[in-house]
Amino acid sequence: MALKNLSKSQYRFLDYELKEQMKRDLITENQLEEIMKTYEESEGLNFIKVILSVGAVLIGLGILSFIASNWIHIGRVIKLLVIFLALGGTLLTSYKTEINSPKISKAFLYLSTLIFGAGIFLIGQIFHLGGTWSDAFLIWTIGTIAMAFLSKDLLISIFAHLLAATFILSGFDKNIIILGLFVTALFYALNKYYNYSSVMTFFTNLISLIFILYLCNYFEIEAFYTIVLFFLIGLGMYYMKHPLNLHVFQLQGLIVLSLSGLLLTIDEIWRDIFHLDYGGIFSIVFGICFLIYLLSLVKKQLLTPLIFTCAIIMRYYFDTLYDFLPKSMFFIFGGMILLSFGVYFERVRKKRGGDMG
Amino acid sequence: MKELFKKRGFKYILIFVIFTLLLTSMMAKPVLTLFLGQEIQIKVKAYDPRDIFRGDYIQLAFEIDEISVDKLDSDIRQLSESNLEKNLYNKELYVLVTQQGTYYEVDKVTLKTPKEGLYLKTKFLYAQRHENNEVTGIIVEYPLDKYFVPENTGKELEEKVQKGEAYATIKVFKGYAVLEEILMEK
Repeated sequence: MALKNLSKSQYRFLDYELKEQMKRDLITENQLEEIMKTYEESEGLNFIKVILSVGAVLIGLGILSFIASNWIHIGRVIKLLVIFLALGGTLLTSYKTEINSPKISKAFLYLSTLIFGAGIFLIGQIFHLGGTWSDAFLIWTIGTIAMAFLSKDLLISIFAHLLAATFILSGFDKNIIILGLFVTALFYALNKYYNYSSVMTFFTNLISLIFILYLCNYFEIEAFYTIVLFFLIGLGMYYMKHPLNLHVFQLQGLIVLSLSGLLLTIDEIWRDIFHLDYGGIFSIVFGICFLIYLLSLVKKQLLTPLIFTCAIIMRYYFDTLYDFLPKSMFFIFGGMILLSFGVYFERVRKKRGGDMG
Repeated sequence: MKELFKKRGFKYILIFVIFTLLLTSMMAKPVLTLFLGQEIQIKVKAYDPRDIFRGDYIQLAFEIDEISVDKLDSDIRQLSESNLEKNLYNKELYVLVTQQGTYYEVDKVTLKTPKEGLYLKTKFLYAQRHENNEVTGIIVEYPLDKYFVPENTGKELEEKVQKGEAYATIKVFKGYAVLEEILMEK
């Protein structure tokens, strides 16, 4: 079973409370241990770790920038040798410091991942490799995924996701279907390896969504159908029950369905399919149904639909009243709508203890 | 194998090997082409932008990018003219080149790998059409469109390229081409 991740303070509170219950003989020591075994304490932000990581990233960026400057005084072979030596050096330092200074060891792992990227771009520069060169990001992604598997470091894994997103977004006009599927599958496998961390699932789902957007664009699916597809995906993510971080799926599902629903309230999108006369009618009918649906979700004290309800109301307000109302009235009413939503938003948030679902 | 993975140092060696393999695999084709490929010269036409990762470069276009309709092989001409863009979109084309004086020029373009002659792999970009919508030629794209130069340099070369007074030396091996350098005409 996946361990539930708690912040440091939550973990300590739970531990303290359960010990209190044990003292009152409400639970046994074994039960306490069994309960605590189902939770894990989040590492949280650590000042030294932040400083070391930022330092590593800055050095890495410096190396990337140095490669980009294409300095004439160092030959190409020497530059390549420097990259390979730097890779070996940083990995060796990471290995040597792993036991006694794990934070320094991690910083050197980050640095080696960036140096690997610099190596990729150096090769592109040396051989004047042209085109949009999304392949560079694919190779960087694969290397970083390998690193994420071996290091089990969440930051490296998130970086791999960002690289994969860049790869897919820069390859929109190319056939990267098999490669995209392969990378997405690798990320879901990586989820298992990371004990089904919520952050990992969030980013992997994001990659899947970007990949679906790529597929829609590649197969030239019209904007209307793409948005409807995303609306259905959002509904699926929100309502389908499964054991993999359901709360992450639900949050992302809500965001996806709300964003695509918001787009479907624009009549131009419907006009592409239902031509000029009916586009406006369909968008208004959809807008009303969607607003009712969002309000039903708001009733369940969910914050994401509340934000989008506010967005829809403001969108209609701008579209219909901007030209008719005097500007001063327009802004005063607009401000009042936003203020009322703000007050309601704050109330809901307090009731839910800051949970954004 | 599991025992091996448990060894702390093995992971680091493995990641070094993976990084090295990925980087060297990227170099394999260009290096092979530089050693075994045939050197040819082609005319270039340009501007000077910057890639945040790879630095300053001169964006190049070549005379062999523009291909008139009479150079297209029968299998391409058979494709419906009205749907030429759709039929050729993202397809790999083979451009056979022959030497005409100093430079190499397009001889023929085919959809299948040529059995003989020197050829370059390319991708279809778009079709050129006459006012009456008749196709007059096609524009293709080679992965040779960037020439990387040291930071804040390349102005003189760029001007020469724009005036059409420069040419590119490339190496070609089994259709794969590597840009060696851009030289100014004497």
